Amino acid sequence: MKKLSGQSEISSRQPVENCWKRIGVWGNEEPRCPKLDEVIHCRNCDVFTQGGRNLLERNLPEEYKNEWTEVMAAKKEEALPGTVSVVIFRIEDEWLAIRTQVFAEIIDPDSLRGHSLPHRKNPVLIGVVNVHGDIQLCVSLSELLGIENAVKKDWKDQKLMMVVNTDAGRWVFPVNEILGIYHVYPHIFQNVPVTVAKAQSTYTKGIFNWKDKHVAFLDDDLLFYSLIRNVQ
Amino acid sequence: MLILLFYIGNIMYTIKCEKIREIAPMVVLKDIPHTPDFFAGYFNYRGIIVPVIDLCQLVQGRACEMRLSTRIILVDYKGKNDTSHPLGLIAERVTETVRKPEDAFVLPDIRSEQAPYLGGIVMEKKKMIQYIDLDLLPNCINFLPGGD
Repeated sequence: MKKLSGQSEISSRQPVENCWKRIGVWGNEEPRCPKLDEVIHCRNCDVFTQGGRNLLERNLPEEYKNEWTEVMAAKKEEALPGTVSVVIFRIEDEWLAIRTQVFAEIIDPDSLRGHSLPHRKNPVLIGVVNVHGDIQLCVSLSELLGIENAVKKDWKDQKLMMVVNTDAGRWVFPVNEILGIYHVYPHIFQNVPVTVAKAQSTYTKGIFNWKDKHVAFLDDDLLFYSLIRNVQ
Repeated sequence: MLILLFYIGNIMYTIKCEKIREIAPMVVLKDIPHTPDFFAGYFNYRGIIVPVIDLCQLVQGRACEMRLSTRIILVDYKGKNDTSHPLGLIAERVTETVRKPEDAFVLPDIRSEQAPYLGGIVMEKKKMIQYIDLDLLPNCINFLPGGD
């Protein structure tokens, strides 16, 4: 009985008001909400806050307690101190890593509209692509880094497009595979052998072993600096 | 000073955040027979066994409603010999914290014999909110480790 009375209390408490979708910032009904003059945006408004709070006044979903019991009973996995967060990905046969801070997203190339740029013979600059409505430059890291193609492929055949954010704008480049985001200890970075004369070594801060792979950790500052130089 | 706001029934209460270790979601507790009603059971908190008290049961004599906003406030309290013990407190609508200056805490002259841990008052927008004094709570619930 107690539970029932609790439920009726809830349903009476919320005649679900979604004014923010009608006369607030997410709606366009007239007249506008008079409170908007004062609070500017609905998220500053008490009514909106209360709407969110009411969501938490629902009864517990099934299995909720059991799931959390297991989570809370487990030892806490703490972020290891002094690690570097990297995104590990593959271009052709090379495994590369870049700081997670500059990583933005992965896009399925099928959903991208790409366009080549006429009168541009630069192999690094592939063209332009439409990323969420913004035109971004699409570049080839394999050309810049001098990664040899196992099989010569057209860039549209690449499986994934990786988007990175830098101070100097966004870059999009094709990659063949993404392993994911991992934490690595900086002390496992090894120096690049000095005898390696490839252009790739210039952009590599260090090499580390990830499982059975050798991964080159890229110097993103230098990489994007030379990309800018390259496409100008 | 940051304070956590929560409800016991329809009445708002608060606790100082400096004593709080973590806010945990509601979990399954190990029920112990022949304990007072307000003792909700033992909580396996990351391998530590933590006694949990149902504040609704303690203050109002009815169990907390099981809602998403009903949570376990994990606190550390000082027992005898200044040893620190973890304790869980179940409360309703644990969703908000506010900042208060130290002088917003008022200790009235009247003290309830039954619930001295509910002595202090915090002023929030002309409303009076009682705060739960963790230093006094364990003494009132005398089966906790470190109580008198």
